[in-house]
Amino acid sequence: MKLLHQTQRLFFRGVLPVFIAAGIVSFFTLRWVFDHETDEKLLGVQAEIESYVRINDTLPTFFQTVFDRWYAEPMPTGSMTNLKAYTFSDTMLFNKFENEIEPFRQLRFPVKMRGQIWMVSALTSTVEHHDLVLILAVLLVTMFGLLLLVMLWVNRIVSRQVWQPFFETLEKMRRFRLADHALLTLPPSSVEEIQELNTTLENLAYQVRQDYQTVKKFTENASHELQTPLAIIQGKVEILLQNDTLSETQAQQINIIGQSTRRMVRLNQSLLLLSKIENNQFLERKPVALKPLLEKRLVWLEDFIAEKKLELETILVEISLEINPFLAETLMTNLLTNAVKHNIQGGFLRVILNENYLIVENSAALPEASVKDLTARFARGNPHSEGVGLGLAMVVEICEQQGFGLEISFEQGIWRVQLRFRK
Amino acid sequence: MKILLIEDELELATSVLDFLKSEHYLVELASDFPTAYEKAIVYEYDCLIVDINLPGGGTGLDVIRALKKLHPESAVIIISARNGVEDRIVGLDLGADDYLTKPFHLSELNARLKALLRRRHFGGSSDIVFHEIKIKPAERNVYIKENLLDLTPKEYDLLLYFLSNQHHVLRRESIAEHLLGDDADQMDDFNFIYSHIKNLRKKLIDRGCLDYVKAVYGIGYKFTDKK
Repeated sequence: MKLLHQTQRLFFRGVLPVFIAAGIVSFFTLRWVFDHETDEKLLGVQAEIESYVRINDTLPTFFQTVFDRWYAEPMPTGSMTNLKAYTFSDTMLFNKFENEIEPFRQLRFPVKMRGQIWMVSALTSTVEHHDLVLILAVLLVTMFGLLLLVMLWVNRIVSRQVWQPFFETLEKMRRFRLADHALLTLPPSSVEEIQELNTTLENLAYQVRQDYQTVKKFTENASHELQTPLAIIQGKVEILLQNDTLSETQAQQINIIGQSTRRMVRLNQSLLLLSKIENNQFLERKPVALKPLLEKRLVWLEDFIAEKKLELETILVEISLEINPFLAETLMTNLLTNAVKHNIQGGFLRVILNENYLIVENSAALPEASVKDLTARFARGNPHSEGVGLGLAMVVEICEQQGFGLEISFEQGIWRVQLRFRK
Repeated sequence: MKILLIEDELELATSVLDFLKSEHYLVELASDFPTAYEKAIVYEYDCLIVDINLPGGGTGLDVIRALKKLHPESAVIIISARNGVEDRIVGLDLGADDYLTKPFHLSELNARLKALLRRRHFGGSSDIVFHEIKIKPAERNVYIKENLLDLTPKEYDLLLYFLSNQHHVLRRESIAEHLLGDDADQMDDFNFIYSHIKNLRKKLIDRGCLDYVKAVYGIGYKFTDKK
């Protein structure tokens, strides 16, 4: 869930119950206030009637409205004792003008007149009050609703502005690549926490990159320094093998030293090349014609293709790409040599090149690792192979650097690498 | 033939010296910049084999620069650990004739040295003769008892490589790398050289040539007329 939605949801969850509760409370408060008002008015009527009766010893002849009425009835004698000063009640009466039953508030109180107790009932209609309360309640809810919407909207705008630097930071971090050389610089923010986050991230990125560079420098230096001892071993192996007095076993063992040395040399050269590619040492780009490059490499591979009796199919279009020439050559070489090396006896090799992509398809034995694993460094489909397992990693690295889309799949014995020139 | 080897790694230098001496060259060694510089300008050599990284305040490139002013006719082969395209270009621009990246096979250095000296001294017109075999490098042709032998380019390269390294055991990798060139390290299966060697041998024997190619079991081959 997005940050903005999260805050809005929380806000909504917090504010809505408060609004509902406030609505209910105000509805009942208003009703109580109006009811109270009605009661007061009725008590006023009671006081007036009582004082009139005290002076005149007879009931006043009030004008009776539709909404306010009163009447008196004589009480049987002897029922004096347990009479209350007044009692309120709600009742429904028929309003003949409006032709409907309406709610009324009734006040009953006893009056002593001409030696007898009369029970006086004073009634007042509450229909208007109830309507009023309802209108007020609806108004209130509408206002609350509007307020809620406005608050949500304001909250949204405020959040967006407040979190803007955060999103910028996020975007920059997403684009951050360890292998890039530019330092990570995040926009300064006036919000303390975000500024702190940015500073922390900048320091972290700097530190990580520093460590990464050290490791890479180390790889490069180590690879470089290894070359001389390897050259010495290789030279000595060759000199030793010229010795006629060696036994066959001795000669073969020395030869194995030579073969292992060669493997180390290859591994070393590949590592050196990989770290050079990662270090962006091949930045220069110029138009490179791909077709001759592929053809040259296929000619170079003809001995291996013939040996495996591969069926070669090529559909090549003359196209030229803006790319580093050395990387282009490395890329083509790795793709094609892989396709031949890992092919099966009597298999096929298909190379398709057009304006948008390069596809290399070949038959292959089922690799013992997944496609994803094979693109990792030192991954080998066959653990007994002599390869150093850096070929595909190099292809991945070059594609990434040149901005090519790369799809690798292995289905039904067909190994397929598709390289899309524009991602 | 007088050769100056400029190489600061003594062990590597010894291997090169041993191999070249067995090929009857007169080889001198300079293992730092001042010695190399002095020798290069004072004496005359047919060929200099120069390492680029040197101790003592200068590089192999500086030696070549000085040498080419005084003795432009001396051949130069650069051997360097740096697999940089740049170095190669600079080196060749300065007048170096060839470039070998460390580690290299001594037999490869030997073959290149021979080819270079042939080009320098005889304008490439000197024939290479081994009993009934005669190679004319300028025209890339091979004659057996004066009859032209039809060889594929790879078979020709193979035969020339054998003749440049007579009596030496040539490891399979060394032969394969010679035939494939710089990118040989891409491949790890060298069975293909069997068929080339088989074909070459067959062509030679069919023309009445003795079988000089001896298989050295598990290792490689040796081209020799000795038992």
